[in-house]
Amino acid sequence: MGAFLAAGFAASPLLAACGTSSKSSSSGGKSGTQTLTMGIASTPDTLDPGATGLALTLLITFAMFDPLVWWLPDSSGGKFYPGLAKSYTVSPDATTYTFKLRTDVTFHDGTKFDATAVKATYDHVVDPATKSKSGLGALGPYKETKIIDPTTVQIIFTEPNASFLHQQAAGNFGIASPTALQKYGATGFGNHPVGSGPFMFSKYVSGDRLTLVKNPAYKWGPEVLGTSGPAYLDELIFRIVADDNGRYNALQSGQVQIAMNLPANSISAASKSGKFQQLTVPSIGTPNGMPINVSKFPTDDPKVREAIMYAVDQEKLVKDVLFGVDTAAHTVLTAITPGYSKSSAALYSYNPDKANALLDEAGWTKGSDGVRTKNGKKLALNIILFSGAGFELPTQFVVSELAKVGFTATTTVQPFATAQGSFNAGEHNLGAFGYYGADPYLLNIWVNSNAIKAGFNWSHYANPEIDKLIAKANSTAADGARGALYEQVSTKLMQDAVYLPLWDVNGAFTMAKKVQGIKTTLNGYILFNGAKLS
Amino acid sequence: MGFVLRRLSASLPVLLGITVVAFLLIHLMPGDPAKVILFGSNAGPDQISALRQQLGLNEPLWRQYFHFLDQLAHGNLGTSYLTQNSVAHELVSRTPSTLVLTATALLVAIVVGVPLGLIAGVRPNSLVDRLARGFSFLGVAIPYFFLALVLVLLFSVRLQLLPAIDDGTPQALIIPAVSLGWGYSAILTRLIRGRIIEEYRSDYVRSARARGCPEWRVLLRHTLRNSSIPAITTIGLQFGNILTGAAITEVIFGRAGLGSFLATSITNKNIPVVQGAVVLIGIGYVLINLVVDLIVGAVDPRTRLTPAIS
Repeated sequence: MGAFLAAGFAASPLLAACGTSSKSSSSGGKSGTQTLTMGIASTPDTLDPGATGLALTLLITFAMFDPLVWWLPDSSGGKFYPGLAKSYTVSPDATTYTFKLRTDVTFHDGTKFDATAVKATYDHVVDPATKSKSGLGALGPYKETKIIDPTTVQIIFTEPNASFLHQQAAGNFGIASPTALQKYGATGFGNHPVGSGPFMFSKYVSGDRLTLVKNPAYKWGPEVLGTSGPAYLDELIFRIVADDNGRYNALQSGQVQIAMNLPANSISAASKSGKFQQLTVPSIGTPNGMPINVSKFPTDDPKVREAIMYAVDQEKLVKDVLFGVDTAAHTVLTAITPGYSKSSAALYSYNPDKANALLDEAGWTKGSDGVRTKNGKKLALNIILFSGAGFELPTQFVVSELAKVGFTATTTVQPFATAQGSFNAGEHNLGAFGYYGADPYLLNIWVNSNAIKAGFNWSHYANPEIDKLIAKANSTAADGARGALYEQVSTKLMQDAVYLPLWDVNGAFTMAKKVQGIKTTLNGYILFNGAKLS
Repeated sequence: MGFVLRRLSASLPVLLGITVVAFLLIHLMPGDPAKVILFGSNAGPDQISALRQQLGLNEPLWRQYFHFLDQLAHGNLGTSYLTQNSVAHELVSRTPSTLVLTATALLVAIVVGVPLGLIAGVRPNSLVDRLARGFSFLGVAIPYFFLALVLVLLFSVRLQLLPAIDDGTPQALIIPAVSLGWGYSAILTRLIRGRIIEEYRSDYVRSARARGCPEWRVLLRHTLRNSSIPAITTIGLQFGNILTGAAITEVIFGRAGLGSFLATSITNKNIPVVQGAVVLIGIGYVLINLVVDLIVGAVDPRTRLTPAIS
């Protein structure tokens, strides 16, 4: 599961950046019909990108909706590409975004696309009746959408909101047909999604399958996705198979051509068989790792925290425990997240000698049992995890690494809600965390000093300087200056050793070899615009 | 008719009990249900109290229960937390899939188990009997989910003859129904075999033969009929197990039935769905047992006087 804490909405399996699979198979019959079926693990909550709380839904709705501006990978990392907007400008204080719109776009229901649609979409997300689970939070301090003329629209915020461009490309803000929004209403739209994307909604059998069909009129996609015109696939089917083995079996039997988020051992078996290809989509946000509580003994001592950072070998963790499917993490943001700081990731490398030296320096002496003590107290860590996020085995690995340099630890696994209470109360030395988000402003959610007693600051880290730096970064529209500010934030967080990064959860798509042309977004989704079966 | 009414009224307390359990589910979760449901959404105190209000959690427990019953009686099972759609509607749309699977599994159990038990019972210690006993031993010993995986690996992955997951075709039913029905056919085989051995040597069978009754009639009309009562009762009692098995089988084969719906809803803390499914499955179980009692009554009129307790 991608990151288990979703932007603005943390329920765990929700905004998993990574996991669906689908595709259909055998129907590529006489007429040359191309049907791709992808096996996905869970049921979408809605098909309305503005309302959803699930990354899975966004993965699906990316096929049906276009954003104003795409944010896609290129050789230099990431780049914005025109979507339904031909161009955009941002006010220097990052409060007003002006978009010039395309004039040749038609929604699936025949409605012409213009500024009205943009306003209807954003107003729909903030409408309380929509009960938006992740879009509302991602939108931030939204004030209004102003129609300047039919091809010019402004999205205005009450405060600076430099994260908006990344957020609008992250899936929640695919532009919806205003006619359909009107016709089906704020919640009904989720059962009747109408966008302008390369695929149109055809049929959804609850809990079973979702069928999308090609939009033959499509001609406004980014060329970089393989084609700007209609999709090559005639049908795109998302088949819900909750059981991991079931998805793998269906892939092997040819009933699905893509299986999403197989467990690591199946992925490993699939690649050894040589019959499949593996598409790995990096996740965006904060990698899975352990918040280190700076207010509880013994991790209140910076030297002890630094020793923890040096004692754990993330590469070995990924190789031995996670079957090499995920990527080792070394800083507070994953490598594809804007604002990722390479220098902060280089601050600590695996070095048990250094860890030992730091603990010696801090006055902890090793006893005959290998456990360090100081003033009669053991170097003991209280580790609290919550169930269902895949932390159990990696934590055992971490504990064994820490034991080598003289720590002892007790690990408790609690249900999610209970664990959050424990974390807010500060009962842990090490916790479990990970957060999905398209913009580095997500750091504010888990390092802001106002999020300790209620919120996600499970490191109990209170640093007014950092709070100010993050606020400043989010009111800086210029990308370079903003990046530099987040670089400072990441570096300080790593220097203070408040978070032990462990692994980036990759989206895993195991695919039949005949699947070609799948592209990825920079926020962990896959796009079917140019997909075909060879 | 009196028998039917008696059986129906005996089911009422069971049904009420089911509704109590379903109702209490929300209170069995540790902590404040509203907080548990909202966890992760950064809900403020206002939202929590609004949800408590909406769920009626501020009312006394007995009043909440009567409200729950009232809604239930009107077919209103609430809305799914996940999709905001009507729970009753979603449950109804998934019921046929489960009915088809369980009915096919039962059919497999009967078609395999009854003849096998019959032949084995008629010729105890013959080769057929020894095979049948081996079969029922394995059938009881091998869990259906394991059998399902083995069958899929063999017939779907290796031989590519049958679908690995449900694709709406009748073929897609074969592996799930066989893996689910296999264990029950083994139980039936054993039960029927035992009874046939006993009945086939009894006095009324001898007198039937003495009257010149053809052997097939002796076997089917007299012996099997008298031997089948415990088997029929067992089918009713085992129906709950079949439903449990269906839940796991549905998950494995990606079937959108009641069982997989219940399983995923438990994971998602989707309480209204869990409550609705528990009530619906409970009612189904009670109904099946009622039908079984009626069948037993029809097959063996003696039981109509002293209703079987199930």
